[in-house]
Amino acid sequence: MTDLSSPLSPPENASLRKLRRGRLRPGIVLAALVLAFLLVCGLWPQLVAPYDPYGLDLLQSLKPPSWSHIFGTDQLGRDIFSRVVHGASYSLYVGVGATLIAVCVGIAIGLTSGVLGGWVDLAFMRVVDILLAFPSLLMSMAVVAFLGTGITNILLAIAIAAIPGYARIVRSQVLVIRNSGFVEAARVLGQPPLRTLLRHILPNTIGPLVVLSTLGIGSAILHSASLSYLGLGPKPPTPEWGLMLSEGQGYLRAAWWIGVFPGVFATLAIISTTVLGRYIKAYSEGRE
Amino acid sequence: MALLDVKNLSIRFAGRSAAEDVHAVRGLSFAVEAGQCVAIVGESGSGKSATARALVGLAGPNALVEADHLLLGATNLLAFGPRDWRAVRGRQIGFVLQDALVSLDPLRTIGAEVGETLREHRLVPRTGIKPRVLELLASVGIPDPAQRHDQYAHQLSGGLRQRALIASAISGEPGIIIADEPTTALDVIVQAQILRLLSELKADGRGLILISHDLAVVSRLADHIIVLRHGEVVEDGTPEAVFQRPQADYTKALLAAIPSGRTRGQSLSGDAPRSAAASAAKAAQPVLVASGLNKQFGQRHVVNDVSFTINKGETVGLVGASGSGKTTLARIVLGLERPQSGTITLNGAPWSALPEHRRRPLRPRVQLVAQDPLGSFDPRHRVIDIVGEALEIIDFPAAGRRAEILRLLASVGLDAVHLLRRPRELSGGQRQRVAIARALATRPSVLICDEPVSALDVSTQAQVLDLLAGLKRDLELTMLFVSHDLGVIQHVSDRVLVMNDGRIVEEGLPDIVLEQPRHPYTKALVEALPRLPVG
Repeated sequence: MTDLSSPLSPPENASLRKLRRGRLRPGIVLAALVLAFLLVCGLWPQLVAPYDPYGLDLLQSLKPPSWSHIFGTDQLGRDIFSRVVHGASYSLYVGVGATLIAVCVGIAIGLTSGVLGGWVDLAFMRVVDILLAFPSLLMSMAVVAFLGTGITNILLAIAIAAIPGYARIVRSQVLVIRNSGFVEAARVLGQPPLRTLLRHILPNTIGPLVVLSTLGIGSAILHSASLSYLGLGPKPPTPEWGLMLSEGQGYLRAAWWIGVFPGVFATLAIISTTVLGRYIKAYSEGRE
Repeated sequence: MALLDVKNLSIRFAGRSAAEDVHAVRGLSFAVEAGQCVAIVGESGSGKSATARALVGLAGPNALVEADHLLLGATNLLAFGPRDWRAVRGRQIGFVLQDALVSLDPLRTIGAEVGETLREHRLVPRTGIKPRVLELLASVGIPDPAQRHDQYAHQLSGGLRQRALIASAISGEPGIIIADEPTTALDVIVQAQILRLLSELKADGRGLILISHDLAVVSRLADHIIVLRHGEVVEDGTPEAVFQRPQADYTKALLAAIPSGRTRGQSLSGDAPRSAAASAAKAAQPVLVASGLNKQFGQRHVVNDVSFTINKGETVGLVGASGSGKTTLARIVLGLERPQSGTITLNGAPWSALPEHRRRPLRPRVQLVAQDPLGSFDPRHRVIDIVGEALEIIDFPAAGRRAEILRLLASVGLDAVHLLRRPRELSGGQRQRVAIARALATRPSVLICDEPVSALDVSTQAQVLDLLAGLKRDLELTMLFVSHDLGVIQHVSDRVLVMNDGRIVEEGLPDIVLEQPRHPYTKALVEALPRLPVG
């Protein structure tokens, strides 16, 4: 009868899982490399940039890409590559900062709403509904109009516009977990509700949200560039990508490189955070 | 000639290398004659469902199906492509799927589902479809077919849905019907009806292939039984031979593992023989007393004037079909639902009437082992956290916690290796052991077991039932054991409560209640129970 005591686990699961793991597609590696490069640019721009981003040299103005200025120079002779490298810090600052704020506030609102329920839930969710009814870019513009321009105000504006979405997700996740078997098990054990909230509900809510927020960073960068392009962000001569894009617009025929390279970098940053975010999402759901 | 002749079938799921290939089935041979039933029996992972799917060409893209021959009449199925299979499925081989709820399209009416094969294979003219579907629905015993024809899956009960699936499987007049676990989701009474329907189909001269994990279920129908284990045939013969003179140790163990009244006080998994019935004949000392409990959800009286007592060291079995109110009753006892009237006292003190904040400190005294252990564990926690949490609640000193966790794990047959595992990394039986260890950590006065073995294989079920019996003897556990399975109830209980439509209709010693039932509902329940023809 020793046969019966051995575990009867089907062997197929293990090998299938092995098949799915350990396969990194080249696109994901590329995205990670791009992000790593941008991170270095954002944190230590002087390591990468060969020139001062504000340094004027009128003799070198409007030079096309060459070995000494690989992305060329603008109308005031500033090195575009150095400016683009320095611009990474603004985008990262807004992208990460806005997402972080939005996620934290979103968790607070969603958790309160989902746990308390009743009229608190009703009130929060109606407000969230109203905020969600506006396109988020329009929402951010309204906030900037109220707070005034500048990079930190853009960050706040984007964060505020992103909060309702996160609050919604957290609330629905809380509702699922609140009715799960393990929360009931904790209740049967006699665990105080606050401890159940901190130990079971909160951690199981945050997990999926962290994954989702990596996707949010990409769209925050896009929004910050859009707002700067519209002139709602930092003032010239700040090397911010959206601002550089709008400055380069007038020279597009004469010197395409002024506008194109900041645009290329913004696009790269957004695509690679999105690709990586999707990969992390798929991985956490067990699809990769 | 046989309707279907399978010789040396093997199914392999390709891995990255030959060494990683998964052999789902190896060397399976059988033949299905008209009016005969071949039953393929095995536990999860035995390859029985892979076999069923391979026989209708649905084994999946990465499955390699090989055989010496695979003949449907005179046609060689091995050479078939997807188009050829489509012509066979529904027309020559009917397939009855396992789960009627997910196998029926929720957006289509029953009539549209059942008429699908007729339409696809153009078996009857367009105008003839509806009359034919009504005929089919009537033939599988669906009452009021005209009304059911226009209803959706969710409006039908589980038994009716299963009948509809059978109607759809026989609509193309196939010579062979493959039924994969056709009664698993159903309660005993409905199960008996479905088995009767299948035996009528067999009597009509159809060949039947019945796939099941339950030897008792197939014993009524089968003319030939094949027992699979890890894809290998371990037993192959007529029901008489398999039940009376099983050859393989595995079959013997499987048969011995089936709980019933006869096995009470005995070990099911054959680990250690135990002395029976030491707990009886003691002065009855009531631990939990329920009187006049009522609970209504809207118009439905789910628990209707229920009273019972559980004495110290006693296991009270609560049996009833799905929807009988037994789970709601268990939740009231646990203090998760509040009864509308009636009270429960625990060790003579009020329990159900307490407000939540005063009940909370007492909750460790009433613990639960749930049907789905995976759902009752936080997926991020390890075994040490899961059991440790229960100890933390009873303020067990932190210094001795690890040792206590190890002691609890040892008492349920687990050891230090499992401490750092997460629930997903454990087998079904191990998970249920952890659930029991957690429930016992608080040294409860009453343990509520709500269908604790329903999701487990027979042999794992045997181990868990043996474990509970051993713990009951060693710790003098007091238990309320809820199950739909009469065999399990009869095996574990000292006293039985039979519940139907929210009422306790019969109560007493298991042998008396379940061998000589008086109430008509209990009689129906007992008659419907599939029994092994073992002496």
